[in-house]
Amino acid sequence: MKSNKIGILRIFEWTTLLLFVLGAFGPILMIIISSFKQDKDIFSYVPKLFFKPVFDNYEQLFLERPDFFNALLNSVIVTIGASLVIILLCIPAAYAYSRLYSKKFKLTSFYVILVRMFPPIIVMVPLYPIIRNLALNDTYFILIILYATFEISISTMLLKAFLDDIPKELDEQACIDGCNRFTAFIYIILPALAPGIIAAVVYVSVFAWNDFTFAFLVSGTATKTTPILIMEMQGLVEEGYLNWGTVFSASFIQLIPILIFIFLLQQKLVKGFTLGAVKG
Amino acid sequence: MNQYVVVANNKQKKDIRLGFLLLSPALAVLTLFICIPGIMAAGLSFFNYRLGQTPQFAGFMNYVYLFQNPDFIISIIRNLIFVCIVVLLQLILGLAVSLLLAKNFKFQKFWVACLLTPMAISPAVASVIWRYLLNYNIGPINYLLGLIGLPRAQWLSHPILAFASICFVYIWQSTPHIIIALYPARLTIPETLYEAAYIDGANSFQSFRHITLPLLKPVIIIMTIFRIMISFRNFGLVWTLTRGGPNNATELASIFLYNEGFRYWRFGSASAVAMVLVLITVFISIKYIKSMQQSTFGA
Repeated sequence: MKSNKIGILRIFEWTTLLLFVLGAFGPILMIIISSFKQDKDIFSYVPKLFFKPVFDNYEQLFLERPDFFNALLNSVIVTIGASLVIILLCIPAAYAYSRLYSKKFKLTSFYVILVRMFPPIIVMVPLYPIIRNLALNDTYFILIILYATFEISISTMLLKAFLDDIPKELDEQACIDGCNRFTAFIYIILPALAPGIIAAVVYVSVFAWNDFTFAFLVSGTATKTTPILIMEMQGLVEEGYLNWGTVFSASFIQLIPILIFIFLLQQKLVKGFTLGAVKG
Repeated sequence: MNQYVVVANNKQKKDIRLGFLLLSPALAVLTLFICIPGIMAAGLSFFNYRLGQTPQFAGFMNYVYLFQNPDFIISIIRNLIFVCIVVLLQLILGLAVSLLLAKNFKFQKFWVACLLTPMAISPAVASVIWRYLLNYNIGPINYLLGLIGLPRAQWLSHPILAFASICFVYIWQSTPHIIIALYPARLTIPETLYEAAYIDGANSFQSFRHITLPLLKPVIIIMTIFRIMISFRNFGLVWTLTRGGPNNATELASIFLYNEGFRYWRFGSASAVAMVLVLITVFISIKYIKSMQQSTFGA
């Protein structure tokens, strides 16, 4: 009797779980599947579950939208650029907070958190005229620096947390063995910090790769990133100049790195939840 | 002995100097690209400034203009309604999913990954997905409505439905942020507590009410503040979904700000909007900032 009740409860739990998963992932899966459908199958009012998968949409994307691949390249460039800037700025800062901490840094740590609270679009109001006057709009530089700026706060906290986990005795031991602070950092701390660096890079990369607001405001024809191009393609679709399938395939290509990241790293993501909580 | 103190003091001073040196690049970039623009926005909000013209001092005119502008007032109210709806629903939904996940399922990691995916998606892609699903003519959602005998709905072009749609899509995209905080927090609650409660005859609602909820409370509070702050400033998703339309029905404060500044080039009044938003944000988040500082950097 009791085991029966548990069995029913378990079925109920599974059903609810699958419903949640369907709600969260179903919409994404739907456009991924549709990107392999012929247009007549997407358009058929009765959704088709069984269809012959084709690569027509990808072919069309390749042949007719070379600008998509340009945008993809732009996104790769700003993503890598922002990651490098974050590494250069935040590792030293995190080192200072973790290894050299003194009460005198308290104000700066408050500052690091406080500036993160400034909504991006608000900062852009006064920045935009300046960016225009300096002819920096539509350059990789400004996108890279903006993405990096808005990730400094989270990346510094993240790297500090990882540094705190590396025992200080390791540095001291190295000092006894004749290393100075710098060599100890390079040979001892940096290798141990690798997971932290990867985590910080993942965060800033996802942000730069996905961002819409900044790119929408400052990128132009030369540096248009993937999300902006996808939005433009979406507009063309609804005006009837482009097939739904093409924009689905573009979206799926944009999604691939994100999906890889989520499915590979979800365990770490869940572990780093306290830091996840400070993310937008 | 005295000598050692001097040496230690010297070393400490050196450490502090090195520390500031290492901090300075990051602090400089933050100052240059966030702090100074923030201060400039505060200044600009007292000027009449159209892009390309010289700013003219205007006193509080921008603020007067804003608070006499019903569109602005309505966009703020609309934004507050949006925030209340989405934060409340994503908390309930996120809590439900987190508690469910604690029951452990086969292929757990796979399910967690699926549930988290929406938060890692670009607003542009989310908008492609939902503009397709909610499409009047070919959207699967209208098809499903048809199956149960309901008429098709103008999801994105009827004012009230459009507002409901942006709330819905926003909740879809941001609930994983709650899961990622509450699910690990739930896992830290020892099972023995529930077993003891079970032996004492508590039903599952009672153990939820008296064990789960109190222990998750700190995380829930932090997440609530944080999500209020983040959803208050949302721009990308609403812009890509509806551009504030139809008929301004989904014009949140950030969209109003965008139109004011980047469409009509009125950077003075756009800055005033920005200031109002900053004040509201800081008011909401000051407690959060303090607790954040304490937990990551120590007192």
